[in-house]
Amino acid sequence: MEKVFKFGNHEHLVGIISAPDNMTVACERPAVVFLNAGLVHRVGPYRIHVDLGRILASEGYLTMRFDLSGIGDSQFTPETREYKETVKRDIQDAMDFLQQRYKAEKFVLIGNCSGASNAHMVATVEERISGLVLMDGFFYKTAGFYYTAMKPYLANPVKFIAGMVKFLIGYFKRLVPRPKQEVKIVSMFSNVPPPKQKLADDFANLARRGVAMLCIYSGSLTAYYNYPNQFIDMFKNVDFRGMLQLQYFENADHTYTAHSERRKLIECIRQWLNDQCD
Amino acid sequence: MTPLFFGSRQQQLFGMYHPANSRNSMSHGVLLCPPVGQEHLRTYMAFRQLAIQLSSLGFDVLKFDYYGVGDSAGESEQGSIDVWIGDVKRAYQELKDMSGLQSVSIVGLRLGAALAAKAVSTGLKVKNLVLWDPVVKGHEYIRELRELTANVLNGCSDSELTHIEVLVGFPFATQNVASISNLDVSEIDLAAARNTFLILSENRHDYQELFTQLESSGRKVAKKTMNSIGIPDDPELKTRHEHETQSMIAQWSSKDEFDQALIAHVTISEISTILKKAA
Repeated sequence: MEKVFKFGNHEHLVGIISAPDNMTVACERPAVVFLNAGLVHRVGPYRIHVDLGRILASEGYLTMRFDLSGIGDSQFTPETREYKETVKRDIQDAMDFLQQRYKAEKFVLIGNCSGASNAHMVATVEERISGLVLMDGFFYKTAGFYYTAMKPYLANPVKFIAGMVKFLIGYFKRLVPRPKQEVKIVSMFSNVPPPKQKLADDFANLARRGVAMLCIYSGSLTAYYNYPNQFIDMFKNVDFRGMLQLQYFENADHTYTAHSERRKLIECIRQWLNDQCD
Repeated sequence: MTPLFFGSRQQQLFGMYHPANSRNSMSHGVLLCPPVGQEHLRTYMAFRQLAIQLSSLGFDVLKFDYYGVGDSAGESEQGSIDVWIGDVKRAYQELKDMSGLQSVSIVGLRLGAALAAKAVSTGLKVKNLVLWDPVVKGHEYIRELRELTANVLNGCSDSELTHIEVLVGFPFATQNVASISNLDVSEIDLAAARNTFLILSENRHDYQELFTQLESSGRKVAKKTMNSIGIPDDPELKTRHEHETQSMIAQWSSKDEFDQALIAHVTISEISTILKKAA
């Protein structure tokens, strides 16, 4: 049976706990916390946080899905803070709550897209985090990316010429001066990636700390990620010390709309978690 | 604001109770009946905004998830029309118990509007029934969901489970799909609702059919189509208003919007105004 709580410094956050019947087992495992994917509330895209959370609870994991400030049913914090600082504080509040009420000491954060970015951000400053599941988190183009993108054109002369024409049109369009924007609008949910070297340093430090990482990429974002080992090539100078598992679901879209792909994703995460606990 | 689980242990339903602003209590409760499936996710924020606005106007509000939907118990494919109609009744009673009020209105959106109408037809007494972009003909709704599914998945099949049909990413029992297909809100008797309001994003033949049916059966019914609300006379303002209004009207069957959150503050204001006048 699940329970719902309000928590946080101002009781402004809403979260739902799926707890196993036998909490003795749960105490020996990290608690799993699901983070919002964009503006989707705590149930996750296609209710995946509910399904996976309940499966994990039935296998002995304490899990929580909750809404960050202003998303879903959580209220905005009355404190004035920069948005990223609010996100960090919210996630720490969730961990504090699980620690105080359920004696959880270690945590695995699971996040898709902005959720992945938020999970990484908190993990760099939180020693309590022992694992990360990052879905479609970070993208940097590599030589392999460009080669994969060009392959269909190199094999087909007509397509190659059409592609070159399109590229040249786009290139010259960008040379035409445009009026400057009066006001620069930055969405509070914009996912601007950090500099690649900073991220590489973060991953190296996380690996050194013993944080297990499952990085998952879907096959739909081909404008940014288009082959299975692109992540390895993105961070080829990082020593992951065996802490990284990489998974590529080529037929899945960003939110795993296809039920069949979602079931594979759930099984992948479930298996990875169990492997960490063995 | 109180999050809660209610109902039986095996079929607990999730709800969010927004008590009335104590300074101007209307002594009136409003139950919000959401859509299901992908539309449930798209409209969650809009329903929250509606709850907050109604609460600030003095209404006690309960929004909830049906069995197999959102945070409520049950797997997605375990939900069914009959169970969901029962959930509407359970939530209605929960609202009365929490608020201590006897006077209740219901706002239903999409399939939630159809479920609310079905619940009212079994005798659930409500002062005002607001049907927001209702699913009127179940078979049309299922057809649109199937088309959208095919568009979103680029024609790839997503049916590897028996007795399950996946519609825009959500599994439905095939029996439930058949039940939904048989729904026809225009044939439902809404005598238990004192007033009925249709809040519509666009002009559709089934909306007009529903309105005509309700009028001809002597029900007190009003209709508002949101794409014509408050359009100014000035031509330049009119064009800009229409563009802004169009961007805020839900495109339920659009592939480009199927994963976009509904932004509907104009519609929410309209519904709040209607309920305040009619309470």
